[in-house]
Amino acid sequence: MKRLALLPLLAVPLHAKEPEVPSPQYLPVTEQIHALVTKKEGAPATAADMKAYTEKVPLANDGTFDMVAVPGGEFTIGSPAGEAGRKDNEGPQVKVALEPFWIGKFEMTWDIYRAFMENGKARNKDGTLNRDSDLKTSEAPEIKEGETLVDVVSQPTPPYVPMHFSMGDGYGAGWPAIAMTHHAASKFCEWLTAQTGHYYRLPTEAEWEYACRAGTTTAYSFGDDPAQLGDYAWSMDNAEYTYQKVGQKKPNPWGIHDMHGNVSEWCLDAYLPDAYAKWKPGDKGPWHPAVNRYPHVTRGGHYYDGGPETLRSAARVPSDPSWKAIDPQNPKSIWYLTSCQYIGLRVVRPMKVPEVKEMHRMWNTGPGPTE
Amino acid sequence: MSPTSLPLSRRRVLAGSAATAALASFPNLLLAQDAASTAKLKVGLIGCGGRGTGSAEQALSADPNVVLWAVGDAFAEAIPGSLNGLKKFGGKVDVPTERQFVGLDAYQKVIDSGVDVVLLAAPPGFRPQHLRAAIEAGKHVFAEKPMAVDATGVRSVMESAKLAKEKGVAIQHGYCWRFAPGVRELYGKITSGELGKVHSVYGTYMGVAPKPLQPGMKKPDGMADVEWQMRWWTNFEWISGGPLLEQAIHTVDKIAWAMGDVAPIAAVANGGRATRTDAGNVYDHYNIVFEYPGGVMCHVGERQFPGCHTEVIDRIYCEKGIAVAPDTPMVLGPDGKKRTWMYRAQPGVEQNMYQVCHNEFFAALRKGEIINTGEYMANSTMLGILGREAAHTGQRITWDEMWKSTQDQAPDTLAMADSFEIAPVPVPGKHKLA
Repeated sequence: MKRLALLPLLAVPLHAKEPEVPSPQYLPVTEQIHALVTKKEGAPATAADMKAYTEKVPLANDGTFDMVAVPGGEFTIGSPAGEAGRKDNEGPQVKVALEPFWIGKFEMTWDIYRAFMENGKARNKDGTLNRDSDLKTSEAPEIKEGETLVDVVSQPTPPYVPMHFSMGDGYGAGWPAIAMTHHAASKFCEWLTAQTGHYYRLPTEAEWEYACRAGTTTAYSFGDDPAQLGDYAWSMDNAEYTYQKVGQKKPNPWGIHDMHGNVSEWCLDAYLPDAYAKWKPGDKGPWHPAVNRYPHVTRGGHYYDGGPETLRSAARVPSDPSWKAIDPQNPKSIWYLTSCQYIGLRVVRPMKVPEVKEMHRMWNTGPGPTE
Repeated sequence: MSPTSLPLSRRRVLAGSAATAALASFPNLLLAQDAASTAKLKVGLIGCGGRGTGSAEQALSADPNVVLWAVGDAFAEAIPGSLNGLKKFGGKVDVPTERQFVGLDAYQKVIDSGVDVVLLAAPPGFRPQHLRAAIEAGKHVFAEKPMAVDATGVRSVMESAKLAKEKGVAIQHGYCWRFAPGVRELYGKITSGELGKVHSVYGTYMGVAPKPLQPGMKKPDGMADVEWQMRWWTNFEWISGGPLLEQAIHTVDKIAWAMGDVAPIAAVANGGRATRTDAGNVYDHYNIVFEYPGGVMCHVGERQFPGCHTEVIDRIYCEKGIAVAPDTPMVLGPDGKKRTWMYRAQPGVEQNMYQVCHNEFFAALRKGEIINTGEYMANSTMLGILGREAAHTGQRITWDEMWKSTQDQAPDTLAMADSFEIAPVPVPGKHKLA
């Protein structure tokens, strides 16, 4: 399977008609954002220079989110055969290597995500800016008069109902953003990048588990005893059927909160039941790019249902089209999971900025903006 | 535009002779009177947008012997996308190009194409006209909410509902929450009296505008007024009824439901355009109090403001507890704190209220039962219009006054290429109820 280290697509012989990248119509936007990121000053040259930092998001009323530095290294992905509650899709275990990256200290909150979702522009269903009065047709992502690079990043059409589903304080500060599709989560990362100049994307499945385990090999980052879960996680046991403000539970050994429970989190990878069997010991930065919209990987378990075993470091859940079952439209919105109120996201920023086509692929997985 | 000079079919009050004539043309689609009926039901879709195509999907999923037979939309480009979205139904979609109709008269062509059931999903300004034509032709109807955008339209809907009864054809509605299992269970506790007397209701629909025209956006050169306004229909009152009718009508309908669908006395309201600066003419917020018999006040808070607190919550304050819906239907104690009941779906149980609506509709048709929800559809729509007009005029308007209103926002004879000036934004204290 594909690995980051081997990914440069030019090395792969391509059929003439096959697009070189997914969603090639958006590649010019990626190219401009890539140029912005590579020009941005102050990026650390070595892993030793990486520090935790707080990112400010201008378009979210200067809202902020915190990033934790994670050193590169090797770890064993998956769970041992004897782990209580383990499923077959968590093996075979394989030792993989990761480059250094930063990861969100908390799940992304409405403070930031809402500004992306309610972006204040008339948009076609695919998220391109509408300029021709026809809301059904896509339009080229060229920057026209009065528009910015951020504007031409595909962004959601407004939701018909508030997407917090009346949990928490609505879109109040500190509550996790939820119910976005994988596509929306990816475009959110692109939107963040276009305005901050720092390259953000979803974590690969390997990065997510590496950060979750934080050096541990037990079922949870605090050990094997589910009786302690209440100190570290919001789950069906203690959350009263609602998500909770991020960061209220104890962090893992690397200072990252809510990796277990609260809301499940999107990973970059396509979900393959035997994902790890396709990797070899020592593979660097492995991930499985998605060919189809479903299924993608979600991780971490959540407040809504499931026992303690669903919150383990190695537990993996594939996304499913039923997660937007009650969207009354056809085609259904490409932005919202109307029937899934427990999926959120956390961003990562790799220390090393990838080349442009890889950046593009990591924001445009799946078959393109269809559903 | 001179409304008096036009033959307005949707406003025509049904003449005695017409009613008799209608009765004489006995519906040709009475079904076998047993659940085992397998006669093929031909469905016509009027309005091929996202929601219309969604309703076609639900109709095709509701019954094994249903076929989509004809489609119609004002805009040609809506049709391929709609049919493409229904491809998974294979042979259940049998819509050759000769049964794909385009234009403002496409609805009539769908109705005349030999269908048994029509799905009405064009913007609500067209609903009374489409409903009338469908019922006159003896077709069973699923009608999306709301049913009209003005009093004249609602009266027409009421007439159509009566005509449907006479003709024995069914009308099913799209006030979808009335089909959501958990919400039904909760409202059952209210309407059955289990929670005692209803003291008051506070329902909200506070979100953002779904398809907002942007400030400064103008009609493209060469495009006629009618076409442009239809393309941005939620921004114009004559097509959408404004956000209270088009969106928050769900909350209004649930007030009617909680109150046992009895007639209100009057409404007092505020509203306006606090954030909108676009070329359209709809308000962006309403606060309405409906006065009900027995001194019960029901309050609706509606707004489409970006960047503000958002919620869509019904709170029904009853003698023995507070019912809260719709996201997680629950009952709190009278103190508003302790949760005494909460709905939780059984895993794997079908909960899609949009599907439940069609399942019940088609199951009833198969049994020869004629659902006719037309009257309460009309009443819930009029309740919304009552609140909206109380805000637009700044007056206390009674239910009786509302029914006497001659308000009529556009002629049925509009053509796509017509000029059609945007009506001014109503100013309370100056705006008069027609």
